[in-house]
Amino acid sequence: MDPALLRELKKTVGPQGMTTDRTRRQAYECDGLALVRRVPDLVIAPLDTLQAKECMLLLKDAGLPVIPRGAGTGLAGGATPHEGGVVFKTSRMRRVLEVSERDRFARVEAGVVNIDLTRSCSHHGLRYAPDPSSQHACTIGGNVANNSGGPHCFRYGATTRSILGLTVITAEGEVLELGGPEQDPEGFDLVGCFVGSEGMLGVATEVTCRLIPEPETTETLLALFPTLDGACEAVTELIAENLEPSAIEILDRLTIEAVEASVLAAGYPDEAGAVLLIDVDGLTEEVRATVQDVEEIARANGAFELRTATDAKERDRLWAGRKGAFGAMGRIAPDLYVADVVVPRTKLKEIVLATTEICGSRGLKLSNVFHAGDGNLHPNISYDRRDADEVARVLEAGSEIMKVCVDAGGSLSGEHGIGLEKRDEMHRVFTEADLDAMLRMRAAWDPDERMNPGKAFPVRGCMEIKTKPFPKTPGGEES
Amino acid sequence: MSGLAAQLGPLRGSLPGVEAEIPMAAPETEEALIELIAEARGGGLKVLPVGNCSRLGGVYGAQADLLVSTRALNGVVAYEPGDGTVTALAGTKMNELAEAIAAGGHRLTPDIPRPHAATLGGVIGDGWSGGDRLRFGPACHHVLGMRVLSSDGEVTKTGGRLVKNVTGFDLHRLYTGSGGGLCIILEASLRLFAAPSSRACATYDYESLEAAIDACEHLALPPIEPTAVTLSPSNDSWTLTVTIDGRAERVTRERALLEERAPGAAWTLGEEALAVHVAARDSTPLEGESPILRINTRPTRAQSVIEALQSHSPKSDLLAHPLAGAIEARVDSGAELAALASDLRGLGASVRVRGAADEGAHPRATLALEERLKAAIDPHDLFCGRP
Repeated sequence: MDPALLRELKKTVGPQGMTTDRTRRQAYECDGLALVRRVPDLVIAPLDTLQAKECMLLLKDAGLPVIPRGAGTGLAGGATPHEGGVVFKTSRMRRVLEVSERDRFARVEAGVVNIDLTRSCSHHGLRYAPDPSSQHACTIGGNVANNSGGPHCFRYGATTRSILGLTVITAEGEVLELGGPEQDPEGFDLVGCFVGSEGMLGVATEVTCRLIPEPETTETLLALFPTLDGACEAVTELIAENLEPSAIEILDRLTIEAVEASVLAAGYPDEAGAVLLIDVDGLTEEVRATVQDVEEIARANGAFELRTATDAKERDRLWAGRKGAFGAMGRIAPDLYVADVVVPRTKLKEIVLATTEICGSRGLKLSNVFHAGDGNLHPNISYDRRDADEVARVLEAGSEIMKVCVDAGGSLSGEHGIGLEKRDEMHRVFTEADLDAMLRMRAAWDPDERMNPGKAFPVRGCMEIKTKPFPKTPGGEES
Repeated sequence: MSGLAAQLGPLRGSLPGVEAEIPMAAPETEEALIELIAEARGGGLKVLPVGNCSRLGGVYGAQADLLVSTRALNGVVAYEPGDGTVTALAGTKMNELAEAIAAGGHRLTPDIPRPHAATLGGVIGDGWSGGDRLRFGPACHHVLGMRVLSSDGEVTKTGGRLVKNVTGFDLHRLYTGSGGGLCIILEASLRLFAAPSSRACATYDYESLEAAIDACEHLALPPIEPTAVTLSPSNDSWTLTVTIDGRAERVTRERALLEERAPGAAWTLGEEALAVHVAARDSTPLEGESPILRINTRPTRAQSVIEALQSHSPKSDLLAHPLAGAIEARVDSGAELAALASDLRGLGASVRVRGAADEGAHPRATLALEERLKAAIDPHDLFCGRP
């Protein structure tokens, strides 16, 4: 890297905002997709929008690729470093700039951790709805880039429904104020266009988020089923009956065992083949009536026991178990491949069955914990990345799972994004013309394609031979 | 134009601010539409995509050579009640779509005024959110995906028919509210919500705007979550209509809370409440000879925005959703429109002028990006609508 550029960047962000030492840079070699690694040449971490803009102008002059990164909790390789590129970390920008109780919004810097946003407004009786499982670590900026979800998206929607405005720095170093506290600003919906763009249009440095009131009552139910099929059928019926809980999650037996053996033991019963974890919130009378309907449907679909959290402490424990499930899988094998696919909610049972067959036929260990209410499946495959043959089978199974989901009217990702992991599967969903339209839109923001290059879109011209995104050698660098 | 003339037929349309009638085509198949667009592109014409032409104030003075309506491309493409989504062709009327999904126990949002006159494509292209945005959010949040026709004749897809999906860029968010400036919407998928089994409307009258706004904030404090709150002037008073709906248990409780907070409302229930809600909703100013302003602001600024509006235009016919910060107003013919819009923008409101030129508007800071987007998505500069 050019020493003059390094000097200028250091002058801008200070020594705390720059990582040049190889050992420390190694911490940024991947995000949650550990299969692809590349140590970045440089990591910079501006402290605010002004510093971010100055850095972006320097990187523009140097013509270097920029890889935005929040907390690195993404699971699709969206923050995997690019050769010759600079990792642009937003996690030092972590001030809550404004909370408006009456207009129900908060303006925060992009590096604010998801859970800290709700903490900063809870004394007003308000909260920020999107709650990814990694909410104790992931940042709002990262959530914006990935249009992240979480269990309570079922009722309150993914990140895009909670974002009102953004301050964005483009690859050209322009600072754009998009939207604001008012809904429906003049002009094109640039906020809606930016959210979920996986760091390929620019870097968000400040975010205006919609807040919602805390509900009067929340009930958390646990329905125990002998089989995963029964739990899936119950969910399909809940949706068909137009019931509106705030979250509907399924955990299968292997997941339950892993959670219960971990420090996050939530008191999930070991006699169940699957459990449904459901939150119902709202007015007390409405919640009571909805819970009654949910219980009836669960019983009709084979639930042999129904439990309700008796207090907030038990409710928190049940949810901590669910949100910590991915971490608990470490007890099964050293590595975890977290698939993230979506299917129509009428097809939950058949697709869950198909994923079981796909993994079973390849001798892989599959567990399921997923946002059933949204049809957002997470078939999790436990493996050991030192075993090259197993890695190959995992990747093959992942691809096959995506294929059956798309064939059933589903899609490649519900909340993790495409990143590196799924870029070469995009042709399953979109035609060349569809992808061209998206890339034309991207070119308007970033004509030189320096923002997070190589992500989310297949390598063009190689569609026929379907390029392989992952290395043949486990733990190797991206090809 | 001769090839086109053969396809056009006798339909003619008019645009606000444009004296001459403009030829209009309403192709009955996608193939015919694609052919028409190719002809128009080849002839260097400017095309304005329209639905049923019920709300064209946003494209005042557009220099269109040809109006292309999707009204003949209509019908529900896919509705599986268990999935909670519907996909329909752009020309489907909003009331017909609402009827189709009511059979599966769903309601359609946005709950726009006069749905019998508007098409799905027109509503989405316009980015029009109904009063129910207070509870469900703006229309753009519920568009899950689209198929569109671009100016180079390609039919492309964005998003999908799933309630949760982050595959590919959300171009449908860009197309929603683009006013026919980027493409022609052929088909759209929407997220659906449960139809209410119970409904009640409370109507209040207040002597002053200040009293009405105060009441409004107080009435709707949590845990009440109204579906819509509309405010409109009537003679010397202000009428506030609060619509609550959902499960019977919810409506009963919210009604009790409202009665406790503000006794003395005129209550209607069930079908009668629906009629009151629809009457309030449909009192949105009709687009006609006088210009209309579509204003968005923070809820806490709604009062100052309405006051500014009335000081410039004392006889404004307006309908406000104060808790959503949305106001639509017809401006008096004698009012200084540019000064009014400027004052409102000075109060932090976003203002869309409809049915008149937006003279004096400062260029938006994002205009350069918007122009690049327009050039990238419509490289032939075929479509002459604007957001």
